[in-house]
Amino acid sequence: MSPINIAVLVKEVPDPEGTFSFDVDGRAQTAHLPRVPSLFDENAVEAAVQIKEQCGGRIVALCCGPAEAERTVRYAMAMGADDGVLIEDTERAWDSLGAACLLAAAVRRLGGFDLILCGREAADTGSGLVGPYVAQMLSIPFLTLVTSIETGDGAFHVRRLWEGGEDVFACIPPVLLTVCAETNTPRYPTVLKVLGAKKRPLQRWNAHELAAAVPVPPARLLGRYPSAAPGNCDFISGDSAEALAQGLFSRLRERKVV
Amino acid sequence: MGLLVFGRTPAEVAVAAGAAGADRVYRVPGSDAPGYHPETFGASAAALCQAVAPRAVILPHGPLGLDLAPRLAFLLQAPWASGCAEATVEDDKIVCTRSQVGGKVVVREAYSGLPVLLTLRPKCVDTLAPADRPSAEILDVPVASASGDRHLVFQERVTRPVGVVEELEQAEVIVSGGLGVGSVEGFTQLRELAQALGGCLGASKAAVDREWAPRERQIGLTGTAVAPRLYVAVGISGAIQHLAGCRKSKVIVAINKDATAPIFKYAHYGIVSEWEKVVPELLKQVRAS
Repeated sequence: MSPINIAVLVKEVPDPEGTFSFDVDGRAQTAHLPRVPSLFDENAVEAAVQIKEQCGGRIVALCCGPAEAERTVRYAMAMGADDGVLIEDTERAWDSLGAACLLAAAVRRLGGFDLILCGREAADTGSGLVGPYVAQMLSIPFLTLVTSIETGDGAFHVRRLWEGGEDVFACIPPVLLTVCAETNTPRYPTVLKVLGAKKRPLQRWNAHELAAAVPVPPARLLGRYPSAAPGNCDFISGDSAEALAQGLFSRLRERKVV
Repeated sequence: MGLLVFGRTPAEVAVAAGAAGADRVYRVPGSDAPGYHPETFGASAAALCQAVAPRAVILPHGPLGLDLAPRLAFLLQAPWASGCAEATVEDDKIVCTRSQVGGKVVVREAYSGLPVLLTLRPKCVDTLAPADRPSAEILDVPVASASGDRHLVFQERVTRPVGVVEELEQAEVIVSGGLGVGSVEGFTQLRELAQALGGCLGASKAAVDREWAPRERQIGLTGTAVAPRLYVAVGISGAIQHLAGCRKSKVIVAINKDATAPIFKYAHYGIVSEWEKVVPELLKQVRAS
């Protein structure tokens, strides 16, 4: 296949392993958390780099987020993206529709992509909306939950998850694909590549200049809070493994679950 | 309530849909060709929604819903509430409870206007027993123009050799192992316990990543969601992404040597001990009963 121009959409998120708290208005209090590239987006970058290694072409990493999200764009560049674009914006962290609008405007401004890749969902919002909406705003076809991408015969041969297996598609470019963790194992960039990526130019675009009108989120937020654990565990006591097993088994019998 | 069915629609579908509370079953003419055809399905579903103006459109939060919901939402200019665990009607609004950050955060949102699209996570809602209702009426969807999928050409469906996922979804008892189990041999012991209890084996992502158990046995947000009568978590710390796939189980038992493991916050019964000592004893108890 001839060289392929790829755009990868990446997001920087508060570390999902950290403790999340929210104020009464449902605003995230996550300033104490380290910020990391969103999990599946690393798979998307890896998929792009593998395709470039096979076919040649260029990769642009695009990110919508605060100024500090530059780190995530540079991480994608260290993994193998040629160029980076940061759409500076502080309001769209939990607003997928708004982020999609800005990213679509950015992709349109750059133009000429054969393939747009992103993760199946962000590690924070978990909605999986951005990819499909960017594609539809740009009037290009898309497939979600992709587990493998191969190139050949002027098409991408793509597998996507299905109940009990996978569906196989031939996708005629341009196309947008959202990528699952099964697709690949993201590489760790070498120190040399990390240092190299720091020196390369990175474009910073202003969200307000990019898209004049960003839609208002359609829902009214009633509350956002950490998921509560029931926390009523009955700890079995006993001085031997046999006693513990007996204690558990008799309770399960009483409760008629065995 | 209406049920939209893609693919073949035998008469039993209408009977079951009626018993489950549906009044109508909508068929899509021509959709019985094999496979998933994203743009055709999206256009057909949108045509139906435009014709019948539903208040809410509910899709499964799985491979079909996650691809179809954003198409439908975009075509209808309707909001999409992704990853719902619950949805209720309050006054004139639809209130959705959704999970974020891999199940760690709960968000409640009110949607007004018509229609609202919801993708509902599996095993979140208790299904009612079939009611004594008449069979649903079968109607054909008025497809305006199915342009077909010219850019996304379906080629074939590859199914997994055995129905492990289906087995897990239907199991009454699941014995599941995590990082603490430590080896393939450990999982052999867990499988024995599962079989003795008449159930099947599950695993956490961490264990599957280390190839101690096959990928299709993974329970969790990115694996299978289960809600058995009894879920025994052995050597599983209880990462939120795992809990998202099993916390609806009727009874959760946790066996872990670390008393501070988060799994104990979700368990009904807990044993703080090395699993290597407790599991063989438990197996003896089960076999003796």
